[in-house]
Amino acid sequence: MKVKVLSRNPDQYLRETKRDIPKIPRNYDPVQHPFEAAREYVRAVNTAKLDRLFAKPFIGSLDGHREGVQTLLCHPQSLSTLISGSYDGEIRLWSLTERKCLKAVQAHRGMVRSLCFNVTGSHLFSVGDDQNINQWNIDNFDEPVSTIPSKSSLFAIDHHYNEAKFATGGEAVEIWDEDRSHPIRSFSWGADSIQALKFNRVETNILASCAADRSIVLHDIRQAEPLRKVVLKMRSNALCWNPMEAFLFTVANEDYNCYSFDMRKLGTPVMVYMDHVSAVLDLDYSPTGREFVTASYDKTIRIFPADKGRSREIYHTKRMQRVTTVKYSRDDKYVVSGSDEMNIRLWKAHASQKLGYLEPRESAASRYNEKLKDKYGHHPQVKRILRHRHLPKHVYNAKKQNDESRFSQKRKEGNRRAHSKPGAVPFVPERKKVTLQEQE
Amino acid sequence: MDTRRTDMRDGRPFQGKDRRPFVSKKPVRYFDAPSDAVGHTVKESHVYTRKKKAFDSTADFVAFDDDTTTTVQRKQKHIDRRKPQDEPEVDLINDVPAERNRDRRLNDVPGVPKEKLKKFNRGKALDANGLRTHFHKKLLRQREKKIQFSKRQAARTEILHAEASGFLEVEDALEDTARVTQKDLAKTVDIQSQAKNFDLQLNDFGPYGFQYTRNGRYLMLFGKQGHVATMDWITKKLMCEFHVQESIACGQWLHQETMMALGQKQWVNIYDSKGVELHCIKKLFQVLTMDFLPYHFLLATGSERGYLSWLDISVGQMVSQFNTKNGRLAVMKKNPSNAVMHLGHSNGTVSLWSPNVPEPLVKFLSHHTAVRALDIDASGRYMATTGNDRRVKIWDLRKYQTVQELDVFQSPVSMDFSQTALLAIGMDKNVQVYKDVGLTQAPQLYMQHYVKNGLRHVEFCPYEDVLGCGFSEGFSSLLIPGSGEAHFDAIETNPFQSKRQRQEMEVHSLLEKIPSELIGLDPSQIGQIHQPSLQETLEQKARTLFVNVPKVEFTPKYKALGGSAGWTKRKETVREEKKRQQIKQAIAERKKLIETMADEDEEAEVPANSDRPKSVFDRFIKKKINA
Repeated sequence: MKVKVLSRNPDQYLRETKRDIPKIPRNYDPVQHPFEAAREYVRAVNTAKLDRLFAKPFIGSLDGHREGVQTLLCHPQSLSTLISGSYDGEIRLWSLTERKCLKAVQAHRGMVRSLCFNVTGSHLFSVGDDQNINQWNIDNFDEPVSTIPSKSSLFAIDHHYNEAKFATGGEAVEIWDEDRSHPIRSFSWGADSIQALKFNRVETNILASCAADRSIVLHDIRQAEPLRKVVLKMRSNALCWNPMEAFLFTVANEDYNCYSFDMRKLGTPVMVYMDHVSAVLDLDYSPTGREFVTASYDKTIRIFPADKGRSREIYHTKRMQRVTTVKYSRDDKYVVSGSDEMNIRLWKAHASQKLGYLEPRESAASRYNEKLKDKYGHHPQVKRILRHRHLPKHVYNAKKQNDESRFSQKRKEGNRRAHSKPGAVPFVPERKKVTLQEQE
Repeated sequence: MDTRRTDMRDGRPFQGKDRRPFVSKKPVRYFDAPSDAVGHTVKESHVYTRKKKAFDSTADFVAFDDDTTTTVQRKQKHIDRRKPQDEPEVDLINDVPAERNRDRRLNDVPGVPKEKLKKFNRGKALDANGLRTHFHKKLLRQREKKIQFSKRQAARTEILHAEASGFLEVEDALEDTARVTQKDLAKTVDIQSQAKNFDLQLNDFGPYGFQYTRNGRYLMLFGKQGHVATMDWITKKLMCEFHVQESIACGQWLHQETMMALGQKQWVNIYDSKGVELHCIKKLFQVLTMDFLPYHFLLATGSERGYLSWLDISVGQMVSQFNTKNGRLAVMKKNPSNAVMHLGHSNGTVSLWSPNVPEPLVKFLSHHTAVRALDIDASGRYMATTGNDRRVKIWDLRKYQTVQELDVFQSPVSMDFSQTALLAIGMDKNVQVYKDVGLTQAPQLYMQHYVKNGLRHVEFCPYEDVLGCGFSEGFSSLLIPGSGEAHFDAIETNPFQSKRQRQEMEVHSLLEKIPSELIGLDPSQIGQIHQPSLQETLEQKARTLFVNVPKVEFTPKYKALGGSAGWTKRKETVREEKKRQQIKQAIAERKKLIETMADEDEEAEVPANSDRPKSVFDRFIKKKINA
């Protein structure tokens, strides 16, 4: 007869001293872990609740401007450096880590319209309502290095990604060499004034601009003529290229929506982003290209996933007025917004993310929680909690009104269709309704 | 005592360091159980050697069945075998793409035998072919790979298990384990185990019931006549002892050893570990039997008057209380895998209850006499029931059919499954332990023991090779080798937990308390997609096919035009219009439904001019419905 009785040596299961980590023997046999799915689900619900509980996106505000903030610019190399330009022509240099203004200079007479850095980030270009293009040394901010007077008023400026060229937008799109006082090239295609323009960061000679005549025009700066143009129903206020998918760009439109276009086929937008209840004034992509942030006249900031038509996040405060400009930080962690009431606000890009150093266990837990949210995000209970956002009253009411009017139009169209000859009132997808015409 | 098992890992080379592509002699891996100690040889298919494909970075580890195959054949086999079980793409633990880890993994991961993987099976893989987009197909395949990988990883952690399970085995055919007495056993085992075999003489307040905590560390004894004692039974340290001055029908540890519930003469009382009464629950009257659902924090009770109740002890609220309408409820056990309560009734039926349905989920006749005892094994697959007919039946709970039956010579009063699926049957003076329960061969009498008389309760101690039995004159702790699970998971239950760990565990388990709404026959239902049942689809069809137009309520706001006559007329017009619309809509829906039904039936239809000769059975083929 052979016999063995289970007899555990406590030394194998107890820690030797109190400074040791407790011993945790594991047995992954499913029988020892009943209710696997149900427990995971409960964990997912808890995670969703904690996610909303810890959602404190507002970090702080930078005050100092004496007029509304018109434009913001992040430094291409230094994460903590931010430049802002305001309605009264002042440019300020901020340190985001200290949340302090390092320098303030009266740059233009009238509004500072737009800012851009040169390739290395050592010099700053600004355009203002005084029709000047000023070049500033970032280390010595007191006097402009050079001032180039322009013949017409300028609204936008952007620098080439790797060459010493920049483009301005006013009555026409003009390409400048940093060393010359006259534009090397000028494009115009019927537009009276260019509102925004941006160089592509990958195909570096491609430039897109939005004009006040509701058109979006693509240029190749090596060519004499613009490439192609699309006219939308309403005007686009701002434009941003997707940094990862270089053929995509997104515009912020006056009709409350944003539209993503494929530059190869401008006829229909590839994506329509709805949620704002007033004109969208500015937008900026995150460096990952997965998301972008928008600023709107409805006093809110929203963050949209690039592949979804609805926003995942809305930021607002009681005091924040019309948000004129917004930027995503280069490390994908923060969002900076400038608004009418002279403040610059710093937000977290992920409202409930813990900032600073994370213990390995903490980061493992947060990754696990992310996965749980992903896995159980479709359960009604989890979904409801994760989606819930408090809206300001005016946004809530405006949203209701907009929905109502959209529904009513739809109903009307349905009625018309029901009482017409079959095919006489066709179904037109939302994406097709936006563009009026594409020109080559 | 045979010590070969305990030191079986000593001196074995770790095969993961072996870098030879082919090993000429049969390698014995660190992972495998030694053949000599178990008594059966290691099958050759278990033996895995490492072989790296020269041209492929995703080289796998090969199992080859016999050494007679040539190298070419082996290579062929290798390629064939690799197809179904690919290397996973993502390292779950580090959550990084596998490419980065692949080389490291290749160098130290030994193969895992299929037998070992079986336990961790997560069911059949979903078929990606049904998906419409390539993107989602890819997602699904990646997910499946992760599942496979985690399965392998889980199986591999068994290397780390420090203990080996107990056993009692015969060496020749003349020996019989059932004849081994506790005295014999106590002589042969080590001192620590000897101390686990003890008797408590408690003559005054019996017969005694008892219960072990979930981690097997603490024991609660309660005499029918009011005596209660709790102790750390391994160190024999008494925690508290008191007398409730009332009869006690049943007792139950709650989530931890800090709280216990006693079903006294009238109400259920809750005490702490010092014996201080914390609550008297007057909603639970004359309770005869109790069980606790630790993951739901529910105390389930069955009463003298036939009421089945679930009390949430974390918030103190009654979740449900049903009258089972089956007389007194003295036989009740929880199914540990799905938290459904199993009740045995005096008319021989067994019924399964969840707190969400006021009727039994399942009810079946198990004996022609009253059910005396029942228990469900840890996996939730098998249930043992017994009645006054002195017959023990083992039920497969997946089919609700008996798989085994055995007769005993007295009518049993108590039954218990151990963690390793041994079945203890307690009769008046005798305790019998059976093995091989639920397997294809008949259950074997493994061990037995006699007590004086008046046996009331038998229960295996979790994570120990110990069976407790409470009877009229006290309590006996018996050694049953191989009855306890050797490896506990300290995240779930920990016999060696410190006070701090206990407190942590309490908080965590409260945070993860499963809502009682999720209790049902299938515990994994929450993770599944709802597919409407046949009944639901039929009801839906009936709703669309035969529409009762609901009454339309409409009252015009003003009587303006045409006075009251015009008012009535307008009312009538609007009503008629709405009715017409609804009927129109219903007809359209019906038409659509019929079309889809016809499409489904088309496959079954035989074309009129088919080559097949006409058959008399053609009349049963469905004809196309004309919409």
